[in-house]
Amino acid sequence: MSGYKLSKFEGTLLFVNLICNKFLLFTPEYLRQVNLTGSVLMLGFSFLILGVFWYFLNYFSLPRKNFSKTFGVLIFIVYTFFTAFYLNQYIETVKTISLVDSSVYFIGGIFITVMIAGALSGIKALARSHALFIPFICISLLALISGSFSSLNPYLLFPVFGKGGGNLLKNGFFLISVFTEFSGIFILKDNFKDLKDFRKTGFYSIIISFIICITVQLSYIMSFAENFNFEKYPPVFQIIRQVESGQYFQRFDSLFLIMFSVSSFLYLGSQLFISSLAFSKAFRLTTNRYSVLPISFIIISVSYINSLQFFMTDISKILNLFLWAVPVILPLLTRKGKAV
Amino acid sequence: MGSTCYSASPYKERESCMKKIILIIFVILLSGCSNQKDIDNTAYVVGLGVDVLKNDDFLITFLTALPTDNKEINTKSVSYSIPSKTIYSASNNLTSILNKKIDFSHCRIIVFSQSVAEKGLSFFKKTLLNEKSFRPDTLSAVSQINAYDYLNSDAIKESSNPAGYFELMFNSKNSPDTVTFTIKDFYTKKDVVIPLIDSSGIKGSVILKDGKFISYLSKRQTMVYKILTGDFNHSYLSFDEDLSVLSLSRDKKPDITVWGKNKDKVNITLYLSGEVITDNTSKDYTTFVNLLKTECENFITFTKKDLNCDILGIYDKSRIYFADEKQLKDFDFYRHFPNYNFKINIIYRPIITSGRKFDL
Repeated sequence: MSGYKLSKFEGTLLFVNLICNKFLLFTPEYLRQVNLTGSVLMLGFSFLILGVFWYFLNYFSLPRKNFSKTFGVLIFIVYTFFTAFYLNQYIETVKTISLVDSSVYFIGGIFITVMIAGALSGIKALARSHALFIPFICISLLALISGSFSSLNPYLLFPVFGKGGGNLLKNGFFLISVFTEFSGIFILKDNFKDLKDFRKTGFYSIIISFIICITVQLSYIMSFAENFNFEKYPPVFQIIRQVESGQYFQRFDSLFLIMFSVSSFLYLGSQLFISSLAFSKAFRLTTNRYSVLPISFIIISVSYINSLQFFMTDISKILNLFLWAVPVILPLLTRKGKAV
Repeated sequence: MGSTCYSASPYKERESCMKKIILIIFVILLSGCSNQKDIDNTAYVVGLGVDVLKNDDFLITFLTALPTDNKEINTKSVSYSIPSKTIYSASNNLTSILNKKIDFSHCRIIVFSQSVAEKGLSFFKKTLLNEKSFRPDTLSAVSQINAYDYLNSDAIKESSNPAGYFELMFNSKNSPDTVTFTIKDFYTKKDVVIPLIDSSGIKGSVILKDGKFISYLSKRQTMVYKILTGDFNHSYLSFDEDLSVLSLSRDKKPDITVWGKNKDKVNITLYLSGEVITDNTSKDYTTFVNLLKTECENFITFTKKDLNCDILGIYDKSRIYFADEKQLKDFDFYRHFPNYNFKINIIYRPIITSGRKFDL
């Protein structure tokens, strides 16, 4: 229901999950390449996003009715594509780390069902589920990662410029695309009680996402020497596999699986919901309910392309060239376009 | 077309909470059946041995647990040996022999015979780290005798809990001259020290450089290595010159600092405490501390000059002085390492117990 007003708590956790989900699934490649400085860059980017968000707040405070078509359609395309790619990756990852004997179609069936059910349930159900589960996931994630602190080697953060200053400048800037999902907050703007709630939600979600991002990223860099970095399993899974706590509590992999599953279910449902909402808003539809199923068919079709991840690996550099623009520049289109 | 957008939802406000809870409980309970593992259909490998055969294939020995409560059966483990090119193809062969699924998640040790270590463990290193079923905390050791013979030795066969036996035996906290090596150490270290075993137990350790065996370390050298790395807790040290015994403990982890214009000076500060526990010695504790310092210096000279291997992790510590990885690579650490100047400083805190004080 669009009438449901998100609280600050619910909204923050919704966007923390959307932004940080990629750290449970995969670590952005460039952040790993540039080591410590990449993390410092992330801090800078967080401030940049905060600044941009602050700037657009004034714009959003103006009385206005709807988004421009360009903004809505671009958000729809980005969200649909992301959901398809993430769905593909969730299926592959669960098949690799847990349900080894099951068919990908069976695993995909679970994810697709949950995704469609989540999107159809609406923003209230999604927001409340986030408020219920995501705090536990965030706390468990940070607690489990802190369990690996004893085996971390801080010297692996050096040399400071990683693979070189040029590489850092060339690739580091596009790290900002980590925050791509944050642009969904503009779609859900009407679901906040007032501008104050909207602003605080934006700020808290960026800050908490940054903390989680940096914790996961630095722990990963300090856990594995560069010559042994490999991306077969999710980085957090690899860190958690190393955690030991005495003789009786030796394995925390299953905890990761619960965190991963719940977070991915909520992510897929929310992404599909926001995607359909962006589509509805762009074309001035009265409801987003009827666009959920057609969009989900597009997502499923794309996600079952076998070579999607190889394709993604190849074009990830091209994607990074423009994805950074989504959270930063795209809201400009609403301003320049005839958004009212 | 209305200007307001509605996201309709079938979410019902008054839906019973109880129904959802029951549904969740059913989902959790039923999902457990889909990928069930029956203990009777699974062979749990608790130890793995790798020997090299004459035709360059490997002889893979699987020590599997025999879970039984029958008190007449004394053996708690059974071993199977299969010649093969890799661990995983041997595992497939074992599956067809036993008609059971092979599970490595309880594997506590991987024993490589010395001939395998001499050929190099790089191949195994990668395959072990890339396979989920091997836990990162799986222990590893090099055996002077065949790995097959070690895993079939009486001590292991007669042990009521082979996995527990390995855990106790390779626990570095229990013994001052035992080093613990787990496969996750391959993640971060280039040159490693790995325990050396034979049928009678731990004999010392060996140094692997880039995964290849290069030298033995005696038990005493292993203890000095542990003192230098801070893995050491407590030990009784005796020196050849005297019958005196020094009870030595670690106060805190040693500081290792790399400095100098050419990054070739290393300061190692050891924080130790202890007391001389022999009554009839005329020597002060400073004599023993100096002897220990000399021993540490000799050990470092042996590893850097004779072996050119960096088991203390100096390479990692010098990373801080380079701007990027190209510079670090161009520096060619191993060319300079034998000429590094090490300075060892022992900060020793003598323990003076109150009883002894009043005796004076």
